[in-house]
Amino acid sequence: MKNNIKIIFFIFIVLVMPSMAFSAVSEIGLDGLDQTGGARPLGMGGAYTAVTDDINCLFYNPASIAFTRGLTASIKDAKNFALGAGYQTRAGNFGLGIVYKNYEGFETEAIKSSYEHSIAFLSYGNRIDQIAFGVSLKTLFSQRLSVTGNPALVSTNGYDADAGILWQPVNFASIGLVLHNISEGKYTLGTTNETFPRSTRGGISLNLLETDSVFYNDFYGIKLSFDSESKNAGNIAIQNSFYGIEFSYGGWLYLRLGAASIYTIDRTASLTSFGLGYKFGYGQIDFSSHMDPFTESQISYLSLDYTPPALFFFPPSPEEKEYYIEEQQAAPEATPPKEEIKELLKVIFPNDDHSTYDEVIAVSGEVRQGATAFINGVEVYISNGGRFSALQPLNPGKNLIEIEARLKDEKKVMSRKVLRKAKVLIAEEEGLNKKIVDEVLNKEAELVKRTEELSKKKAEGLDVSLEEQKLQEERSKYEVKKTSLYAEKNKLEERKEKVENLATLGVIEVSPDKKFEIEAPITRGEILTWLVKAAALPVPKVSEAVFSDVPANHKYAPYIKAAVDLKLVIVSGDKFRPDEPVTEQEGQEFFRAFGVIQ
Amino acid sequence: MKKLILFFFIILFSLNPVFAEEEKKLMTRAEVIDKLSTADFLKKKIGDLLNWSVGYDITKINRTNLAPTISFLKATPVVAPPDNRTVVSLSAKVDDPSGLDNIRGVRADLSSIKKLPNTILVDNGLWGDAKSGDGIYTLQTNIGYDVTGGPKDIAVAVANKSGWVAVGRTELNVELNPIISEEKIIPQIVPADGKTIVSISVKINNPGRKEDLKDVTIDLSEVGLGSKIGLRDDGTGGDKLAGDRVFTVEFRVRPGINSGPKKLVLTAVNVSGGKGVKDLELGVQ
Repeated sequence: MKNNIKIIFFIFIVLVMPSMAFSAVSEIGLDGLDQTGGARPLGMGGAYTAVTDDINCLFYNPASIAFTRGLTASIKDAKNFALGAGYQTRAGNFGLGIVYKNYEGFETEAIKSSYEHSIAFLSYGNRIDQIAFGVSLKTLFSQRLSVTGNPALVSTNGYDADAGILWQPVNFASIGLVLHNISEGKYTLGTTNETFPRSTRGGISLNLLETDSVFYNDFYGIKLSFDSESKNAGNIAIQNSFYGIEFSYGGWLYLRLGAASIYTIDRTASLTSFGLGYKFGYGQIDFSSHMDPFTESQISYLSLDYTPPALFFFPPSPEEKEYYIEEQQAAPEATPPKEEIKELLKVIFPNDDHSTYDEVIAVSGEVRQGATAFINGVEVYISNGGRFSALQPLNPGKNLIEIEARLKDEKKVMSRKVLRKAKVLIAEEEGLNKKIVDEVLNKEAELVKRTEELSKKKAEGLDVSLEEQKLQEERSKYEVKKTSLYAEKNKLEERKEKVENLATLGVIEVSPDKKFEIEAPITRGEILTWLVKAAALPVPKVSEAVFSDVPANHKYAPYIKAAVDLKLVIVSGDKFRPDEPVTEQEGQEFFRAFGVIQ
Repeated sequence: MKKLILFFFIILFSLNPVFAEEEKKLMTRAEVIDKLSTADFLKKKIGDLLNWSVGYDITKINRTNLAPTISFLKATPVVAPPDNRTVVSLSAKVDDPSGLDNIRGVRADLSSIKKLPNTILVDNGLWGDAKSGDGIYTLQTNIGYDVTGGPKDIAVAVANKSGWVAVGRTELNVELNPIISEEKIIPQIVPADGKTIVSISVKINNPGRKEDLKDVTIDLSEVGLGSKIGLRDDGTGGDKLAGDRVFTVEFRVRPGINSGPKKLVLTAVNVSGGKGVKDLELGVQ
């Protein structure tokens, strides 16, 4: 495939050499084998080299016939018309066209002239994946050039060929390149030797709202196209540009605008065009109007196109019919990716028995193409590749997550156990870590440095016994400190885990963004709250003050009342002192009352 | 003297801050946590908490829903012809617990009307969408000639950036022919005297737009009148209210018409090529 593309491009590069041949007809900007036509293309300014979606493209790029088929007839008057047909075979698509053109009353050097020609061409196009290539063999039946006051010049027959390539990498964009008159065919006009001018024309076409486009819209359409043409008019190298836009509404009504900059006779003319189209079933009727650059008159074309799903020159075999019609009907649909045979459901995250501090977990996995997936009974979004990832909220403590995939009659359910532990920030942890850095890690570095310095001095023969002794003493103290600090850290870690467990069980209330001072004295209200929660005692509603210093809205009021109601706490007087710290003795009494200690 | 010394020591002992502290030693949270963690009734709870084999039952499924919602979903018109031209709008009002910015996209499965199974609805103020960013997503489509008649199920799915999907369904009825109903003939029996006015009214529901109803006619040849008499919905000629889809015609039976039941054929034709026909009967005496 890659080699084929290289060969095709090589042929183009060799052929795209500037022509130096002289030609009276081409010198005034005309091409004796110009076959462009069709109301739709003309309404779009003639920018059609990369367009593939109707039979009119036959007149612009032989490669495009590989993408389409159908019949077309366009007419301005009895002397300006074009007929085209494209049909399919398994060996590629073929096209046939007849074009008659007439330019009446244009001026060459202030003398009225007229020109006409009739040509026919046979095209062949084929495609390999998204790349199509094609050729057109063209014949000039007759050419006539009349200049006022002189006898009309009539041509002999002439022949030449076009070669084109078209690349449609995505559904909504295509790029085309055509080399016209590749052999620079010779013919005679009157007594003058004429040459068909070689030209190169490239184009790009974008369907902005087409399937696969990010702007995809089913109802409206916008097609943009642009062509650029290089050719020689006699010895003058000229550049023509063509721009077109087409708006479609509901797939049946079309509005087209076009502009072009074209060399004619001795100047470059700018022209604008306008077109309308109406589609009915496989048929389409188009109208265009534009300023003709040669005659400088407004001319209009009317076209009738027929673009069925398949068109055969000979009656197709049932297999061929099925093959082409199905291919065409399937074309607008996005091609589903090739399905891999895989498990109906695969959970990527979390693994089973997963612990986390997060309030939300991203549950992710894969399902087989076409399957739907649910997490805890709610459907999740599945990407094109069959992947899903959904944020599942977690309750504090134990969570069971059920992931389910369904595909027709198949169903697979997988579950994941997730423990969401309460996240606790211990206030003392930061100070302890700083102490470890300062007194252990930094001290260690300092001791190592001093040891190295002493070794150097020793190597120099200096007496460092006193310093060594001092260093040894410091190291001993350091080791004691290190052991003590790490023991403290281990103890804090253990306590942190205990706090996390108690907080996860709901015994301790810990704010996720507030540091918990574990070494702070506990208050009477707080300890009673913890104990009531730990013992899972029923908590009453409080509508009035429990004590004179425990109003109904005090945060510990329900727990103090619960303990008092159950006579676990006996208070003399009308005050409970909920915010006062607990003494050792009071604490022991509370523990005994709640059965924490005997 | 001994008593004095003893008294002095007692005073000294009681004032000593070390011993005073001992008496007022406060309990820290850490101590309470240590004690609680060793309590029998809590040890079991903590053990259960950390045990992966216990307690993970259906009650531990978090039903908090972060999925987007579709609060209404409708196709306009509800009945549309397969003419490849009548615009059918599909609108869905969606919302999300985290706000509309969290909506990833809204798509409709139009495969039941032979369109793409994942057609995008937009909330950008374009393509038939009335207002950008109002949470009402819209798409416009049409129904091809090759779509068969009958109710078509259309599913719309909204996905959010948190990975959740909500699916809603609506029905679009594909019908080519105008539907004729509520026919009334007043009076139902009339003398052939050329004087008594007969009023016939029918309700015509045209699939798609009511403006696309081309002709409503009745064949009155059996009562001596024309074969293609038009009914009107313009508030004149006996029609009570213009534009209410109730079409009316008034006529008199020509004298000399034989008595007996007369078949009057009512025909409604729309621009899509659909045709509704109903036979009415008028008694002539």
